[in-house]
Amino acid sequence: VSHSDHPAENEIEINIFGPGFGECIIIHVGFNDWIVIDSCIDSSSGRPAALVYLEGLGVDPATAVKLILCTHWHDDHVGGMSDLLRACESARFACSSALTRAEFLEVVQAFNKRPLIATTTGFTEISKVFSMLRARGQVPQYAIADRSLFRSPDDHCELKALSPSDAEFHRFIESIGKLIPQTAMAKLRFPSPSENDISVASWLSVGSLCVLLGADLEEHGVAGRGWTAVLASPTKPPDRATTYKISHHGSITGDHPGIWSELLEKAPLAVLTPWNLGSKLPRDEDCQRIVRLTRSAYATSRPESRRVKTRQRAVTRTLREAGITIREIEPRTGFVQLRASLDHPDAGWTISLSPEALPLDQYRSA
Amino acid sequence: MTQPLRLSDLKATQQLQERDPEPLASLFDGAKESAVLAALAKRWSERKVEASSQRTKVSPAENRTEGRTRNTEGPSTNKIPTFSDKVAGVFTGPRIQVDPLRRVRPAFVPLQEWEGYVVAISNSRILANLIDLTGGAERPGEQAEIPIEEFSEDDVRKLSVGRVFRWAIGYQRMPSGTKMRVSQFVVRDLPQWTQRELMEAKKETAELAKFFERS
Repeated sequence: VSHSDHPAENEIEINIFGPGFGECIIIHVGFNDWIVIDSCIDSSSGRPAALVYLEGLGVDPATAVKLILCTHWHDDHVGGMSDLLRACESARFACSSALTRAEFLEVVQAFNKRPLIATTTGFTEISKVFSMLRARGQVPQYAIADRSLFRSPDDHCELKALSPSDAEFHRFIESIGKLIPQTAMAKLRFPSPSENDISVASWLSVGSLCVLLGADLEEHGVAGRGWTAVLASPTKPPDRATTYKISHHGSITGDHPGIWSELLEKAPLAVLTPWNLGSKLPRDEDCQRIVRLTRSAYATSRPESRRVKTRQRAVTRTLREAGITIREIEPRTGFVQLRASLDHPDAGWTISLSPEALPLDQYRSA
Repeated sequence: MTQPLRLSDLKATQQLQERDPEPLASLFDGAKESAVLAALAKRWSERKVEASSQRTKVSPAENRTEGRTRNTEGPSTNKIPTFSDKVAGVFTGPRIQVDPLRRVRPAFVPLQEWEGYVVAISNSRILANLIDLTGGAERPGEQAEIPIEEFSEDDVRKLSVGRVFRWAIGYQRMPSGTKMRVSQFVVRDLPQWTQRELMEAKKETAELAKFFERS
């Protein structure tokens, strides 16, 4: 994570970090107030990217961060979340209330009782976060569709949740309850979640600038769920956003034509974070689809790590002889930074790319 | 049943190797300076050798030369000086008789260790995410394509998406003293959830849920 100069008081700054596994959005909403959405680990320091960035600017996270929004519990959105929360002493913590229901909590507590497995999951961080909230006596702010999560004292800024819908909430509770382990079941790593239900997409308005933050909200083609529910909501934002954090790493399952036609200005500024674990995102066809909709599209990091890991010669020799290939899945943390003046919003956004970030039309999947 | 390979086991092996008298013995072979001998003797005396089992190790090279284990209690048939002979007069600790011809204890010395979990399986290979345990990583940082034939037949039957395994590359020291480079995969047979664990989870859940319900 490299640092630029501190944004001016009347400047909105949006930093979208994505190291290849994880996502974090750090927003200066003006007048030294910051919002952090999700958390990921900075590949250089091993610390939460938000803390490294803010500390690099000389910002004290204990007082400057007003809100931490956890869009959902998956590994790639909660890396280092507990360290972030610890440092942001005065921040409110927002998440879906589904995460505080007994069905989910029981799964979290049970799957954390597996000391023989080094492989962590999002449960580990969520469990630490909840313990910290309890120790502080701090009840989360619950995010559900159409609820305002943050409003600045002078009303120049608001962050509003667009999801999850009631239907997503109930479906999540029903499905997670089935994963509560029973006695004599063999312990396993928690199966990789295939759906991103209860993901909190949000709408940020700062002055006359609007930003759609898609989180990992997916589309299922079912009434009342996903983007269909957002688009059908009677309280859908009346304005159009000029900037879009692309949903679910640019996948087709995170897309809906209505996002582009009803929520966004034509050819908006769009940014995605890649997913390099398991099935990789975005695919080439995803990039082509997005670039057709807007030429101003960017990815926060490259599909492949440029680093070559040095190993002992005996290890390298063994890998070669056995025909085993290993690649790093976490390129150096990259980010896209957007800045705009609150006094002159028509002047548009200034875009800065870290060395790992690149225009989406140059992105070629690994 | 195959015991799961634990990091603690491997670390213990490594520590054992560090304490192994082999390097002492090889140093000893060429030692001429009394200071070195005194240092060796001091380290040696710290090892709490039981008086009743006055046996110790020698370098694999010596072991390979002789090819057998010799009891120091019995009559000596050659003139190879023992450790005790060489340090005699240098220090005044308990006299330790040394057998330079003991068999080398089999041991695995890991060079690199990962924990992995299966992401995808094809007919001939698996795709797995790896956590570098040697490097102290706590989350997946690498992804490997591994031929299925690298796993034992028993383990191949266990492979499924999400299944956790340990993988270590290192040197296996054989009783003969020779060493062999090995790549060892072990699919973890993880324990079952116990009634106690699940009751604890329920109790913790109830406490947290009660707190959150305050809102």
